[in-house]
Amino acid sequence: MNLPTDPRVFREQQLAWSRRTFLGKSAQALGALALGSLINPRLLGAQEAAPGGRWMGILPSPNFAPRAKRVIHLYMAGGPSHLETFDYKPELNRIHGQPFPSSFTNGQQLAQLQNTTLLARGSSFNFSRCGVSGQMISDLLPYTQQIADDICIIRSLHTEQINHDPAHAFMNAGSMVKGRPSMGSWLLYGLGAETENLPGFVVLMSRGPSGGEQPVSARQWSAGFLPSRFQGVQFQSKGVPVHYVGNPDGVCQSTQRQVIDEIARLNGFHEEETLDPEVQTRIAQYELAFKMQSSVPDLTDLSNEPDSIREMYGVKEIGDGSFASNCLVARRLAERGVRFIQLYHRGWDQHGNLDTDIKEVCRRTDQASAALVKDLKQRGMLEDTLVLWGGEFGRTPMGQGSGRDHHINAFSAWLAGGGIRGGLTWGSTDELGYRYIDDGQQMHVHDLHATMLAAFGINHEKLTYRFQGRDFRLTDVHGNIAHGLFA
Amino acid sequence: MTGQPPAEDLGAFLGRFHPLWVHLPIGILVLLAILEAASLAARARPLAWLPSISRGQRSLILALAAAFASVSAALGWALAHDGDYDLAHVSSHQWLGVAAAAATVLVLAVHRVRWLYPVAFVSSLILMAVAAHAGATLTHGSGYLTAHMPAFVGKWLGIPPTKPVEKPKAPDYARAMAYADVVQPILKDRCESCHGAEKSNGGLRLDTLEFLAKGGKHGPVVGAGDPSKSTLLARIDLPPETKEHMPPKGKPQLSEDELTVLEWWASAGAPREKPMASLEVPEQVAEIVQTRLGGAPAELMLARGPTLLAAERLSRGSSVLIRPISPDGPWLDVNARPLGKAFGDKELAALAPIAPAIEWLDLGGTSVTDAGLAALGAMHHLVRLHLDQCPVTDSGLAALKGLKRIEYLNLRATAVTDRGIGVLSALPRLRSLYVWQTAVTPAAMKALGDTLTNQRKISRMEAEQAELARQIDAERFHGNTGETLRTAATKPNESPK
Repeated sequence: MNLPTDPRVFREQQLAWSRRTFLGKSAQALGALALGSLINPRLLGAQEAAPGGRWMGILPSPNFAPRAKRVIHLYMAGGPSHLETFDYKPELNRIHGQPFPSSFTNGQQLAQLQNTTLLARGSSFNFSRCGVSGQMISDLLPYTQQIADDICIIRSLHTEQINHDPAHAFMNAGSMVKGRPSMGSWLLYGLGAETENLPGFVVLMSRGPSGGEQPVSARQWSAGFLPSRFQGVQFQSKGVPVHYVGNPDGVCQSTQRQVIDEIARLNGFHEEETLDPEVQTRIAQYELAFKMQSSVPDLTDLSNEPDSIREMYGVKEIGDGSFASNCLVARRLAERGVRFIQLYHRGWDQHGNLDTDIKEVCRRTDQASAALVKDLKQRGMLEDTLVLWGGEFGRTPMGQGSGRDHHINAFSAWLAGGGIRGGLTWGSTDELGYRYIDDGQQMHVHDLHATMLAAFGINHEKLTYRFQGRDFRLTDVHGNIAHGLFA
Repeated sequence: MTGQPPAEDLGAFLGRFHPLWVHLPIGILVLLAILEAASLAARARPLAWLPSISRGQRSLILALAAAFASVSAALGWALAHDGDYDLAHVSSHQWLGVAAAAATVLVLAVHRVRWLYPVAFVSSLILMAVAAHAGATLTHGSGYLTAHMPAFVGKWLGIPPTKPVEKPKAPDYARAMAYADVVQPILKDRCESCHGAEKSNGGLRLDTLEFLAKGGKHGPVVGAGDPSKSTLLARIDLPPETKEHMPPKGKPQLSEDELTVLEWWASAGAPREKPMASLEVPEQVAEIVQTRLGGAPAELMLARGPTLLAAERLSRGSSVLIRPISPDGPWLDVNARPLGKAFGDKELAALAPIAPAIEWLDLGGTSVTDAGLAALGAMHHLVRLHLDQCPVTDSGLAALKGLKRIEYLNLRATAVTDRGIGVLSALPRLRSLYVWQTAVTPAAMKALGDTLTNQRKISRMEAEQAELARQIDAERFHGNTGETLRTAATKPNESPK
């Protein structure tokens, strides 16, 4: 049964109904609404229940018991090498420099290694057993080694896209096709956010030293066909996070309030006329911007962060654009009720100079990533904050000069918190780290999405949005929940 | 109702119209009674405006009643031979029905005899009422009519109260019998009205273990030891809109908890008269059983609809965030953190209407004080509680004593000390306690952790004494329909940083 749950979101759908469908469905829908409002009082009178058009999420109740309340996605953009970080392959080290067995590579898609002689490339770095759980983690990540018992390393990830931009889109939205909503947008659409004073989906970006990294396009945090109020909002990681939130000289808050109210009133006329849900988005954005005039300065006022915390993250200066500074801001965003926080760090695309460059990018991200988990843990926030560390794909076990090429058949990531079992290694790859093993623990990007939504009590098959006549979901027609990841 | 299409049978087909048709003669006779009463009353002067029934009208109405009653009796006869009813009960209704129909015909025959007609008519009415009640009992089960009768009505009618004494005091968990105290009550609530002593559709009775083992006309319904072979579970698991789904559409359905218990029971080999303590029970099932045995009867009374409505009303008044946290229960996640210091004792007390349904409560950073924490006393279902950065002290923690389900407690950056957290040893399920930025010492945390661990060991030892061979498997996953992700955890206590 299609319940027209929220008039704004479903307006498009309602307009799409033919007269006949409308007449046919009206009676049925009225009855369903009356019944539904008994079960879920939010259905009727959503506006009254939500002053200021507050979005409480499309899902009246979870599909199963939720564990997590927010996500922090440490997005290692560029394709971190699993072979240098979390996937220990002694066999690959053994055949270093020898021709790579063609039984692995025949008929497989390659990016830049096409028509070259494929030679195996072992890892130059040692791995250690860490923590009580004894997870294998590269010595490149000494701080991550310290949180081995809190993280669940997934070694069997695989994706479908071999170039950066479509692979980012696939990791974010489950499809390379443009116009699909990212997972942060889906989560906001499904659950709403716990704060009204900040965007529910915030993006921060940092980068490596070399300057030659792949750009990350803003479509990666787009709301796609969902109303644009659910899209990610990028904050500046250097300097002021949001420009121009302060009032110009001579304008006080009460004047500003009056201006906003008047604009909202005028926009309201326009909305009545056009029935365009995007006008609602515009009104909501004005209101949010007004609230951010006080919430953003509070967010970046780090005077109450003790030095010990700054040292833990390795922050030299707040707002210096570093990944460490972004991690600290991410924790503060999480504390304030932001639903989905995505920190991109560019600089993992080592086609050459792998050994020196990956050392540098690890140095820039390792300490702060681990500090974030530790800090969430000591605050009791790790139990309901899901942290994901990972990139868009992995790198080839075959060398590309002094580096490695893009690789989609296997890559590693880790999850922590939000009900995920720490100290667990999930899935594995073959002895050369070329392809994931089909042992029931293989994890396609769709499976990762399904599992992440499950942490929020959402059945990925039930969170849908009708667009162009089809019910879309984050996992398209795929996705299996990895139940074993949950404690 | 069965796998193969039922054979065509005109008698059986028509018989099923009996429950519909019987209402016609009853209605006609009742109408006639009203008309007769009006005619009688019209003899008194003040009521002379009432209509009086004519002879012709009386004859016509009685003829109709007699005809319809005869058809009803015939249809009933056909149904009795098809309807899977208990023969003892059917035969009494059967003969009462035939007698009532005959009485109606008799009244028609004698209605011109002035002195005989009133006697015959009233007798036939009484007979009709008795027969109708016997029929209704067949459909709805005995006690249906009086189940919700207020005590004073029963007293007035002289009917002794039956329901309250019917339920013997539930035994405690360890002594509860797997079938008699755990499974049977579920079957009684959900299945017996159609599969019981009075009515046994499909030849299946679920009111005693013997009948359950025997099964219905398609054979046994419980595949002992293998839930996938259990027809009982398969029928319950079918999508509700299919014809084979049980209980049928429109009847009260099994709750997820009830289904979980039945699945466990079937997979455990359908144990008969064994105490729960002697069986290996996943913690989730144990928890459900404990609640059902009367852990907190008030909780069972919580209905989802009214609770959510109350929550809606509350969140409209303030901007405290309230979300349902389970797909079908009334349990709520209440988050006051976004309100900060604007949320205080008064606002916490205002949550009273939904207090028993709160499962997660986030009061972090609010201005709730020790005095306000008294309101937590009514939140028996609380599992996660954030009090971090609140102005609470040791004395306030006493309010948590009765909250036996708490698993997570965040006291970061509060004024609590070692003295205060001693109280927490009364929380048997506590596994995560956060005391960073307080005066609590690691030694006190260790002592508390040891106490809680020991308590768990003791309860486990008791179970072992009752021949619990294997340790409760905390990692065990209950893959109910693939959607239940919740597991119970018996992890060691987390120590502070």
